[in-house]
Amino acid sequence: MDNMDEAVLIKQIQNGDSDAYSHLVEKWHGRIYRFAYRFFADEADARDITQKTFIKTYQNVAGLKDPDKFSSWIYRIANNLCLDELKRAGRRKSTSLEAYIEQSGGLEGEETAPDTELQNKELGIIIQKALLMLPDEQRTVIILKEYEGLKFREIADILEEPENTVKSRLYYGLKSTRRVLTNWNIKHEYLNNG
Amino acid sequence: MDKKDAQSRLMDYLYDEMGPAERREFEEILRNDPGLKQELDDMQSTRNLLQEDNTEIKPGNLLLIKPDSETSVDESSGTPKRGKIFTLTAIAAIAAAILLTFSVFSFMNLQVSQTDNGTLITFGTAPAPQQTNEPDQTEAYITKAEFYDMMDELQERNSQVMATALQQTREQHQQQMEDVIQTLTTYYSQRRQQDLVLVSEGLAQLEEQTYYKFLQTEQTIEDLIFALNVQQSND
Repeated sequence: MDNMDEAVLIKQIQNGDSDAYSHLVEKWHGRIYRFAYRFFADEADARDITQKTFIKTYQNVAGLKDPDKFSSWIYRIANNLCLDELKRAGRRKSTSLEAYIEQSGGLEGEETAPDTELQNKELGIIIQKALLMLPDEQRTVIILKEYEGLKFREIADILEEPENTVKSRLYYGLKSTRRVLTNWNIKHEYLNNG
Repeated sequence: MDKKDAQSRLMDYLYDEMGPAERREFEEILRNDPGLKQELDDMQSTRNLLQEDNTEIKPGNLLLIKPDSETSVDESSGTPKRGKIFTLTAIAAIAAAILLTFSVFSFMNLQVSQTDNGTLITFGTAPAPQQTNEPDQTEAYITKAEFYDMMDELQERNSQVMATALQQTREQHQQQMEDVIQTLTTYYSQRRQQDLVLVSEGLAQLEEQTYYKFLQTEQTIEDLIFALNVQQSND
């Protein structure tokens, strides 16, 4: 389903077609859940954010003026809900990158396999942890770019920021991620080989 | 190319969002700037690592519930469903129950009336008050004043019984206390006598031992004096 079909779908929903909304949920459910999961690395939070996103979408889709921008609109809703959740939880779900690096001094205390035995699952957990260390705005950009595969222009549209700001956040986000992983002694071939 | 511009172009190149001409130009810059090339390599390796995270993220079933009402939105239909249906069903059930009740009461000719003795609920025709020729039985009943007199008398008797019972209990307690005190006094008196006897015996024993030791000492001194005298006489 391309953007044009999606725009038609949105118009159908705006005209009160409930089946169209069902199709929309079916199409976006996985994406929004993945985004929220990457943001929090927590299934319960991801479910909560996904549910709230679709409720908000249902409540406000009638007022969406440009159906072509639905993609940016729904990601924006999800991202704002994630940030709201962080504020509500008193930022307990997010750890300062600097503070973590200072106090951890690596992953010696944690259960990590040697580089050569690094399994995909463990690698996934480490990457998720590393992403959680990042400032929220850098994490959002990395998720949208790396895992959702959006263009800079689309991310800029979602975040309502200039494209250069998005690129800058991604640049520093990648640098910070590398710094965290290096600090955790992840000397994997992935980091050493370009 | 300033730092911000370099970052921006680096990101465009890294994520393949450059036109062919711009790409060729940037690659030329990279060839002449080993520092920038190294930075690009670092970024690329970090990207590679991020892409290695192929964690399977499976969303569960989604149930949408509007937070401001009981209405829920089912994923499959997207329409308000459970809450509204429940409310409508409840209203219909209550209405049906009321209608059924009235129908049954109507059928059974329910009558509710107020009498001198209270509320009278009957099904069918209410029975007529019984007309009898029996003498008025109220004379056999006691009057209100008599009832109060009886109650007063009963209360007075109860008070007397209670007072007597309390007095007896108090006396019993007092007697028990006296018995206990007497027992304790006897016990301590006996203990005191026993202790005195023991002390007396101990003193007598000590006196006897002292006497014997005194005698022994005296005997020893006499033996010494005798021995000294013998020695002096030999000298």
